[in-house]
Amino acid sequence: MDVRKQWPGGPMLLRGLSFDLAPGEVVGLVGGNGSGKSTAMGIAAGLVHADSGQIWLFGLPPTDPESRRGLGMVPEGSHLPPSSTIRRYLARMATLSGGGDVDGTLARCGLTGLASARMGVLSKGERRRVLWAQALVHRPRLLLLDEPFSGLDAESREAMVDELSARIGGGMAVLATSHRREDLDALGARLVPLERA
Amino acid sequence: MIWRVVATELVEEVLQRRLIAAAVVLAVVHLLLAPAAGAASLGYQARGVLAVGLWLSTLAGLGGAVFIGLQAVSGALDDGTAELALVRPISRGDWVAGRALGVAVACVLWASLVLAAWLPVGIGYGWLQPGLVAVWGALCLQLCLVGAWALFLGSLARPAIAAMAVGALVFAGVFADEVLLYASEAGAAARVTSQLLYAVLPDLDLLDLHAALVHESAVDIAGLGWSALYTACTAGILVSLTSRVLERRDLRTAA
Repeated sequence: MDVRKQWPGGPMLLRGLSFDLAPGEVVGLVGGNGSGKSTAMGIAAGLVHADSGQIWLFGLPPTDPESRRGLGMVPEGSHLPPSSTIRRYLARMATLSGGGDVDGTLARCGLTGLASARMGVLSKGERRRVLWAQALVHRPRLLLLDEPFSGLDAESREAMVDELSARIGGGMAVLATSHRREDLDALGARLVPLERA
Repeated sequence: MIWRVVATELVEEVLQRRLIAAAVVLAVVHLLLAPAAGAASLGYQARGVLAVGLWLSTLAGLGGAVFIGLQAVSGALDDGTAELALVRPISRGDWVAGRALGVAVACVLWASLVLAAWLPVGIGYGWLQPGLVAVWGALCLQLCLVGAWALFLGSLARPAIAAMAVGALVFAGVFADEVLLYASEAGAAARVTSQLLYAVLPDLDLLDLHAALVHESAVDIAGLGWSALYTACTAGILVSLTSRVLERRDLRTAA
């Protein structure tokens, strides 16, 4: 509620951002470059401190590790350790989250055949699918998606939309950002506009 | 459990990415140096060449420790791998502790690798002595101390800047004895400052035992014990400071 954030030396990015998100709901943050979409996502994930305002995840502030027990995140960039295999990496992420279904997630993200591949040799699209897999491996109750479909081909994008739709139907909430309005429309998102700073 | 998972990730990353290949290169360099030791006609010349080999191992070890320590926090923040771990239900303090554990394990493995790279030469010239275990222990302490500094400075700056800061700190540590000498002759305020500086600067000479091995002099085990205690205390303080710095930092720079 009423979240504000200004990076040092930069303009005020978020000026009183407020919204709530119920189970099974999808909210899309829309805005151009520099409107603060990724910053808002970072604040929701507990990675960035807000200057003011209140943020609650499952009744706790996002800086409390317990609030992140039901959280999954697909970041915009490709942040994967190149020397680890996909299976080992997912197992590690599942352990850090308190448990998860590695084999099932590999299958649902179309990664079973690549499970033993090191991530340094994957293509951009394959790395995006691993990012999806690490976000879904522990069956999160809230998924944060930062430009989630960039780098995915049409087939993978469709598969991910189907997977998301099934999980949203099961009560998972989604907070997403995208430059492309049609990506958010495909998920049936309620849109929250962010003004460019 | 969380610490072990986080530590394993770092150890796997640094060993597979760079350090094993670097150890192989180091072994080749040692083998190329070996004929020079054989050609030396006098015993002390051969000792000198072997000392150079061990010095090279120490230097490679320190370079590796800086890399490991920087990769632990600064590198992970820079390439974004930290982000995906820190959106999990673990505190930043636990994550730092896991990475610090990984630095310690990786430094011990790296110290073993750099000495193993020298061993064929040492064995070939009959220099395999019990004192080598003490040299290995001291090298582990050196690398852990430097790795802890790199971990801490890496939480404050980008990897390149932090690497320069660690290098400057290690270089300044060479003059730790002079700082202590100054403290003994300075006024009250300067004495306190100098003594504080002496305690902070990493004096790696105290942990450099390879000369003792080459010249077959006795190793000061008690001194090594005190150095181990100093390293453990310093590393503990640095890990704690790193954790505090990270708690306050925004972990995303995208605006």
